Formats: sequence, C-alpha cells, structure tokens
Amino acid sequence: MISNKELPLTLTECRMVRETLESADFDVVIPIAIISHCKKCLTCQSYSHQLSNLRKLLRSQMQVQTPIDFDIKLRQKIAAHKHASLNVPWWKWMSQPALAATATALTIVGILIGADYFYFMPGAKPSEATISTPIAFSTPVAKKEFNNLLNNDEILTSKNSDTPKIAVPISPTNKINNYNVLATQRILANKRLVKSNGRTYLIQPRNRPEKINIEIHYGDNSSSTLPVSAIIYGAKPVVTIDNPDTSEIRSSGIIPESKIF
Amino acid sequence: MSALSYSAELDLTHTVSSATDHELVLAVGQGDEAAFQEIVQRYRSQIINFIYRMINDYDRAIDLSQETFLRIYTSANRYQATYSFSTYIYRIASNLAISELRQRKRRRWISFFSPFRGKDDEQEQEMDFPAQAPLQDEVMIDTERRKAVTTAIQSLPEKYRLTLVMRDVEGLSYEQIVDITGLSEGTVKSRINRARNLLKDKLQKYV
Repeated sequence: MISNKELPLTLTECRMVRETLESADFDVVIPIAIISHCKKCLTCQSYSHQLSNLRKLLRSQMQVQTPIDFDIKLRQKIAAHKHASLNVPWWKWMSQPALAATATALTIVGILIGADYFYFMPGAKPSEATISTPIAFSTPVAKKEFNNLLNNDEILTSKNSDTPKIAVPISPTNKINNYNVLATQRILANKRLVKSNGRTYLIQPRNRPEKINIEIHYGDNSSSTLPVSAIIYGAKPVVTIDNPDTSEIRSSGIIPESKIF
Repeated sequence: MSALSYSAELDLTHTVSSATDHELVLAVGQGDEAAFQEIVQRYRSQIINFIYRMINDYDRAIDLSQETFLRIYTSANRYQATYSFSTYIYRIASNLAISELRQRKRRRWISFFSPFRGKDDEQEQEMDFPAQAPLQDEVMIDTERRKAVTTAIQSLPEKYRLTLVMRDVEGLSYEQIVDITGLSEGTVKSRINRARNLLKDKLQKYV
C-alpha cells in the first residue's frame, strides 16, 4: 500500500524518467539514474523497452536509393527554369484569371481617367487667342466677356436648384479658328427645356430670340451675369450671346455637340 | 599550363568540399556551380529519404527533391543565415511534401507508379500485417517489417507524421524541428509523443 505522501513523488519521478527517455537522442547514453529507476519500476522499464524498440525500428528503415540520373535531371530542370524565366511569353499572365481581371480593370480605369483628364483638363486653360470670324465682336468688351465664358473651367452652379442647366462641353478637338479650347463651360439658364430624339433642347423662338440671363462663376469666387440667347436650330446648336452694349454676337457651329440638361 | 589548371581545379575541389554550408550557399548565390553541386551531394540522400517517408511515392519524392534543390539554386542570393542551412533546406522540403499531401487529399489522387508500394499498401489507413504463420526467410521477414512500418507511418495524420519522421527517422534535434516547423518546443514534443503512441499500437508485434 502506497501512502498518500509517497504517491505524488513516485508519479513525478516516473513522469520525469519518461520525459527524459522521450526527449533523449537516439544514440545518447542513458543516465544511470534513469536506468536504476527502470530497474525498480516495471512500468517505466516496459515503457523504456517499447520506446527503444520503436525508435530502432524506425531508424532501421531502408534508405531510399538516389537514382543515377538525379544530378542530370536536376541540371535539366535548372536549365529549363533559366530558359523559362528569360522567355516568358507575353500571354503567360492570361493563364492567371485574377491577374488578368486586375490588369483589365486597371486598363479600363486608366483609359477612363485619361479620357476624363484630357477632356476636362482643369488646368489647361487656353492661352489668349484671337477669335475672329465667324464670331464678330463689335466691341472689345463683348470679346472679353466671350473669352471669359470660354476660359472659365469652373463648374457653374445655380443658387436655385430648380434652375435648369445648360452644359456646353467644348472638346479638345473643337477648334475655333486654330483656337484649341480645352476647358469645359457650363452655362446656367433660366429657361424651359424639352426633350427630343434623346436630346434636351432649350425652347427658343427662331426668329425672336428670347433673352435670358446666365450666371457665370469664376475660379476666384467672383461671378457675373450675362444676357444670353441660346438658340437651337435643329441638331446644330447656335449659341448667341447678347451684350446690351453691343450688337448680337453669333457663333454658328462652334459647339456642335452641346449637351443640354 | 594544363598542370597549372589541374592544380587549380584540385584546390577548388578541396575548397568546396571543406567549405561550410553557409559558405557554399553564398558561393551559389554568386553563380558557383561547383558549390551547388557540393550542396546537392551533401543533402540529396537525406532530402529524398525525408520526402519519401512523408509521401511514400518514390518518383514524386525524386521530383520534389529536385524541386527543393532548384529552389535553393534560384533563391541562393536571397538566403539569410538566420538558421542553419539544414534547417533551411528541410523547411523547403517539408513545405513541398505537405503541399503534395494536401493536393492529394484534395484530388484524391493515388500514385500507382511507386515501386515501393505494393497492392497491400493501397488502403493507407488500415494496417495489413503479414500472415501469422512463421516466415522462414529472414529477408522476407525484414521486408514485411519494413513494409509494416512504412504503412504505419503513412497512416499517421500529417502533423504527427512530419515531426515523427524528422525526429525518429531523420534524427533531427528538437531545436531543428522547432525551427523547421515554426512550432513551439512543447507542441513538437507533444506531437512526437502522440505519434509514437499511435505507432506503438499499430506495430505491437514488432515492439
């Protein structure tokens, strides 16, 4: 009968002996203390035998032979790898769907950003240029106002949200007598709009242009109001700017793709 | 001239064979083919054995061993001597072996071409011990015992098999296994002990 005082000590000793046996290297000499314990403790002795036999069994496993052509094939693989890394076909990335999808998405985004940048280039204001025929300016003041209208690239906003807007994008290719207009103009007009054939037009009488006021906001937060008559002749818009001090300024066919909304 | 070059070759051979693993890898990174050949000579047997014990497919073990050395070759210039080179190469080999086992598990792929596998080995999880009748031929007994051990190792779960093969078949130290697997020492010891207990049950006849 083992007393309660002796039991934990014995179990602790057995546990320590087993842990020592388990973590010992294969060819290491077992300490005498462990051997003497195993002589007294049959459980640990059996455990030690089983562990030793198992490790011998595992160590006695036959070594796998290296094939004769191992080095040659390895050389061939290295040569193939070098060749492959030098000559990666351009379509190789297509075999990876995630990479292909990412590249396609990036390309589309790049095209959109590029188009947007060149079409609505904010900083690319046209330099001072002379607008001659077919626009006739009767006074220098009218010419300046028209230049202001073209050069202003700020998005014009209306204080009244119900006010209809007329947006007149001027594309980079839209040349007005060698005058490359790169800015976008938006004109606000207090007029009624109608839709026809997918386009929205400002209703104006053909023979009696109705005068409207547009509010132009400049980049320095200043603004001015100009009386403008916007006359749409069929699909070809004509923008007419009326200056009270001048005669009618008319530009026909300057802005062929006006969008009105 | 030829005598001089022969002497230089001998000197180079001597230098390569006496160089440490770390020196060899650095030389491989600089394009030294002789150093790479020396590394292959030193480790190919161990790596082939290790991978074979893990996946039990001779042809695939050869392929993965070559893949291991190919990775050593291609990444030699990025090698950092944080651990010993043996730890580094075993880590690559064990990753490849584990990857192979997982691929097999996914695809339920069975190798029919391994020369070391017999018909009896196809049921990996079940032990198939030799007949109870005593075998007269020692060679046959030995073959059967080895086959039983191989099958028993293959029946172990992957995580137990990895640590057991490293410790009891390859004879690596606990420190090396900790470095290779990235596990804690306690976990490594626990897994090895668990694997041994499983093997003891499966190989009762031999232990």
